[in-house]
Amino acid sequence: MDNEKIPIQERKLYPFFFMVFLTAIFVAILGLLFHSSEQKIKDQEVLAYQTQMVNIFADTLSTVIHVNKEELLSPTKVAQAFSTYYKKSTKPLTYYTVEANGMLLGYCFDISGSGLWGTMNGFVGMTPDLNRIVNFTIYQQQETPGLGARVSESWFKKQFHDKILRLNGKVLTYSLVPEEATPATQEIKQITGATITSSSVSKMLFNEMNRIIPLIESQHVNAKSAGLK
Amino acid sequence: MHVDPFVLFLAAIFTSNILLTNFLGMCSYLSVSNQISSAFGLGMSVIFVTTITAVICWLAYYQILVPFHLEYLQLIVFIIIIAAFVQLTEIMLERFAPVLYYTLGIFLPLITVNCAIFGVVLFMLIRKYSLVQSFAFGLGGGIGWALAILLLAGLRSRLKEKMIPVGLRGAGISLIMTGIMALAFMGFSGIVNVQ
Amino acid sequence: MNMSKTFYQSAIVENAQWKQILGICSTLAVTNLMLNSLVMGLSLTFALALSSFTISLIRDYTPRNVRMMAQTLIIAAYVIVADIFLKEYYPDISKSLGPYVGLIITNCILMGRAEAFAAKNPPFASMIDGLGAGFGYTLVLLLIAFVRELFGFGTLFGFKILGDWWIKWSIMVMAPSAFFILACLIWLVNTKYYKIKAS
Repeated sequence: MDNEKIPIQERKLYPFFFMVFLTAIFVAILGLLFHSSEQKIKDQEVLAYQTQMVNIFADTLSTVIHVNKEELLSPTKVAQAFSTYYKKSTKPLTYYTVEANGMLLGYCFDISGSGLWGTMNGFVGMTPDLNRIVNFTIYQQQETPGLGARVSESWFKKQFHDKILRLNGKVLTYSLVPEEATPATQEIKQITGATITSSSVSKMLFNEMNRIIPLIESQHVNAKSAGLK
Repeated sequence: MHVDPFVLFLAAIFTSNILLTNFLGMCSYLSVSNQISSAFGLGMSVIFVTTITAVICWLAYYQILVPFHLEYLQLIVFIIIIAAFVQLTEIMLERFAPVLYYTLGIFLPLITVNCAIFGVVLFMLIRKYSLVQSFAFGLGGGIGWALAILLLAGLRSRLKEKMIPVGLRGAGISLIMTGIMALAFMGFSGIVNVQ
Repeated sequence: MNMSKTFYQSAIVENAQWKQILGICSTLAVTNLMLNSLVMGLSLTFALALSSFTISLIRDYTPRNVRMMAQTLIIAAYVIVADIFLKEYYPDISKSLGPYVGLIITNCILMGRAEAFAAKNPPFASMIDGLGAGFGYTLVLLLIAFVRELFGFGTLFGFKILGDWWIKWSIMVMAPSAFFILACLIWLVNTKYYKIKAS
């Protein structure tokens, strides 16, 4: 029969079965690998999320509960710190109340806004009177590495520490000043070469906090008038 | 998300050109830009492939991979979709535009591994675009790439090779020209408000 | 087959970036920081060595007309393995590299070595060839990143080298600088190493 003289590679259906077989092997290997690491990757994401949130109030927390800040943020302790001191509320929106030793330390909000290339997500911690930022950090962004992505650098985050966000009942819109300048109350330092990303941060803070603060305050007013506080 | 598809389309061509800003698709770009006609043909093919595969990959990801929790297979699925579609394009070109088919030669199947197309698909996922946004982004991305290669081909055709130091001829001077173009395209940033 | 000669050949003589002009995309994108360049180079070397090995292993059984598809599949699989590894053990670096690890799949170097070497040579030699090409690639990445990070940020691998007196060259952080630096590197290598002279 002619078939026997043709080498296996040239037979008609061989390429098809070859590809199917090859694909099956590799997909199986990848599937195994993925499932074995899936849980760990998820746990890491949760841990990173919690660590960032605890970081917002870490300074105040460590003073109030007399625990070293580094110890508070260590991977073994941070989950416990999160569940102990951060109380989640879902009405009228999802936010966290930070309390320790009977003292209200502030509130923590998960905010988002449009960056240059995608959504930016950040945590902003506010003082109990909702006038000052305790700390602010961007935990997720898709900005240009080396430019807009520098929003995650410590110098950018530090400028929001203890910064006035609300003056005389009105949320401020921060204007941008160069990276080398010292910003006034209504200003923030921008990232050199990343003006759009920097103004996105300012817009995000304004839009989100302008929306959130009235909701929180009206809820507390309602709670008070209902005699719950 | 929040960005208007038309704005994305313009941004993908000018302010975030897939080649001049994100550096994707350099290999075939540097090799095929020595002749305007082949650059044009390759550019058109890339536009075609990028736009349609962006849509197909979006559908494959959100309609098949996500519901079945198979996201980790996304890279393999995408590259297979792109490879299959390039094969289809090849067959069509051979039938309807044989001259172009023979001019492009090996570079046609190499569209499969053109980082620009793969990059467009990956970026569109990371930035969580909708189907319409992905279409606009894919179309814009392809046109941006085609624009870049045509620009370089045009420049190279007017170059007096003898004036260039020997070590820089070919790839070296192409890279420098592309760098200058990238600087020039930066001037576009800000005309489109991607907010 | 002389292993060190194969290694040297693919790493230096036939270097991907300065000789074959392959793998340029990632070279330009991740070289603004040395750490990212190192991780990228190692990931690519891993994927390249193993995929060359595997492709060479099955080269006698691979039909001609699906050759490229099979190569792409194998390359994609190993890159995903590298990606999962990074996500699991170095999530911060994985985030800063973004989609560029996945883009190793379309990196011309892997397909290029597969076609040029692995399809015709025994597995172990193909792996050495892959390791060599990866090494050469990483070397070029680090050279460019050295210039870009030093002048753009004043740091190397995140460690501050130049003091606050240094005014950072923003262009080094941005797209175009990589083009110019690579062009100069190619010029240098062509003149000094390959000694190309006007004919």
